[in-house]
Amino acid sequence: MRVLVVEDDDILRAAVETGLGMSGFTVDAVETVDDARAAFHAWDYDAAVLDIALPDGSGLELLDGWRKEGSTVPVLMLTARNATRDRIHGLDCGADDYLGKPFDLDELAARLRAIARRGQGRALPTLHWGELALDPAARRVTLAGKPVSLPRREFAVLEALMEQPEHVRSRAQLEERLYGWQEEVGSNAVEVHIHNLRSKLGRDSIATVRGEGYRMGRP
Amino acid sequence: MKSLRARLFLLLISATIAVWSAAAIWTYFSTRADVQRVLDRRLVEAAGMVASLVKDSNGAISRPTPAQIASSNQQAEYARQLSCQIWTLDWRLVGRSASAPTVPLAAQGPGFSERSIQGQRWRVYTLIEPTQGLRILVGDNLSVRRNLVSDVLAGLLLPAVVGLIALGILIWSAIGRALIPIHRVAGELSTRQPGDAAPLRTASADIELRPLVDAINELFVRLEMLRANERHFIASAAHELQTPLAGLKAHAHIALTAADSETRERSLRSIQSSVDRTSRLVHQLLDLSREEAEADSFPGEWAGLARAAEAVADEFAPLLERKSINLHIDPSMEGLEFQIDEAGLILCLRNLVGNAIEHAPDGSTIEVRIEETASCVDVVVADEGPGIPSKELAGIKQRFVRGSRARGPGSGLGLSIVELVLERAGAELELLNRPQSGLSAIMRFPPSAVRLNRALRSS
Repeated sequence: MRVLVVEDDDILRAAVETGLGMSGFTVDAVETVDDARAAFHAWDYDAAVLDIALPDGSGLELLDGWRKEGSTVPVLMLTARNATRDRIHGLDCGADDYLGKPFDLDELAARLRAIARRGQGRALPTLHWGELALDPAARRVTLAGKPVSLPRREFAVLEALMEQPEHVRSRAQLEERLYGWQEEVGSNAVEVHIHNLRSKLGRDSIATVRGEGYRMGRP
Repeated sequence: MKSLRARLFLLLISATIAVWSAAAIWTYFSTRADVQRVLDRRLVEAAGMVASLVKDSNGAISRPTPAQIASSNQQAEYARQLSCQIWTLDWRLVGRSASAPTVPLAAQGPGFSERSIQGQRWRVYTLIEPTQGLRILVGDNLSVRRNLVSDVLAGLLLPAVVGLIALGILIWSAIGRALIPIHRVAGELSTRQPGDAAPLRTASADIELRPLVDAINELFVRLEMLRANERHFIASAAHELQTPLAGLKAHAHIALTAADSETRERSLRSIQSSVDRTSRLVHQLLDLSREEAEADSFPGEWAGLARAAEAVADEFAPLLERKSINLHIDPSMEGLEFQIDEAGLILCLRNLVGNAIEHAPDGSTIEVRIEETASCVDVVVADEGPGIPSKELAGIKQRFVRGSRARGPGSGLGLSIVELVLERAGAELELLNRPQSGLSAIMRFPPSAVRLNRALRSS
């Protein structure tokens, strides 16, 4: 899952970036409203974390702009303004969830998974396709009940494909999910991950759609 | 305990007693004079009457019976005390009334005289009747006259004492009634909740109480403003502390759970700098609240600018060296003193120079200099950093506001603190972007708050 984090405090931003990274998120962290706007238009995000008080504006205004543009990206407000009326105001401005500072990193990750899941129209926290089951919270994959060990990026590719198993994901889309904007992407990195996944889950587990990308194979 | 009621009562009652006593003394003297005059006239009349009786009898009654004389005044209560003697011119007693002594009542010639006989003091009128060759003496016992005056006075004094007691009771309860509005205000104040700053009901207050009620209401307004400020300040401070705390908590979580040692170490270092930042924020909050508490006191003392600037330069020396920034303190400020407390001046310079260092590129120069015009004396801290975007200049001095170009561990409080300190000294803070690049932070003092101390300059 690729997440945009907008937070002006250097130390907290680094912590959220690292912490969400450890929970398997791909994180882009920015400091200002301007940077957030630029990043938001350049990439597809599965969720965003917004602080309210930013040096060059308000996170709520930013959110309002996105919603008016028709964006449905799930947004979690992460702010020290945590009075009930602030939370109500934030949610009514189009936020999907609200978390007050200081917070627990695991809770932040869980809430992000929850709002992303709801955004995709799913209620079940785990992903299923045929005999394959993926638990995003526990970062566990089982095939016919037997655990399969996957490194972080392979897990992320599989998660991206299983979220909407019948949709085709392009290589670029998968790369976006895998790498933050500051990370170097190997030229055939996605192919390598797909190859590794097929060798662990079975040849037909992931289908290649020529000229378009990948999707889950018929179970 | 001092009581308004008791004091009013004492004042009123002693004023009343004083006035009444004066009136009583006056009455005593005027009554005595009146009694004297009336009784003297009676003596004259009585003597005249005796003389005419003697004359009418044409010598037949050579000795008028005392009864005759006494009967003329029988009805009067004091008649028995009125004494009459008829003497011949050569002091032979012709006749006397029963109460009269046998010795002559008076020795002198005609008219009034006083004389003591057997311990009694007599006032006597002597009438000489030359045709009959008689001397008629009519006298009053003076003790009787005194009794008469004291009876009049006693008759006056008793009702006065009774009246005074009645008046005292009336005054006491009247004062009590008059003080009811004060009790009402006190009652309203005592039953008031601590958080209630609504004005007292002035409509019911009397004219005399209104200044008090108005003053109390004004105090309420000021207290409410102070409280609102404090609430706002505490809320903002708590709010500002949440972010570094969130950073601390998140990094602690990472340090505890991260698998690789590099991530753990990075988080621990972040925790360290986050603690530094939080303690700096707390320091600034304390500075701010201290300055706010003293906001009303005008500094009477004078502080040397050069000394304060040197102190700040010393504080920042390691940082300046690390960034190889040249802090240039204009020597022309030597000897200049500003009407501000020295700690406040150092606090201002520390914040402004600190900000400048934060934004100054490595190897640049920060200048602290004086600019004098007719209307003001400016202390300028100028850096060669990026300056502040012009649209942010207006709001940058607000509390907890940091510019979009903010760097490093700032709290957004520094400029607010500087402004508070300067405001107290009658000075103001102005921020200007320099023409090329950089920011001028200007402490603008009125000329009256600046003086040249030659002693400082020579040293």
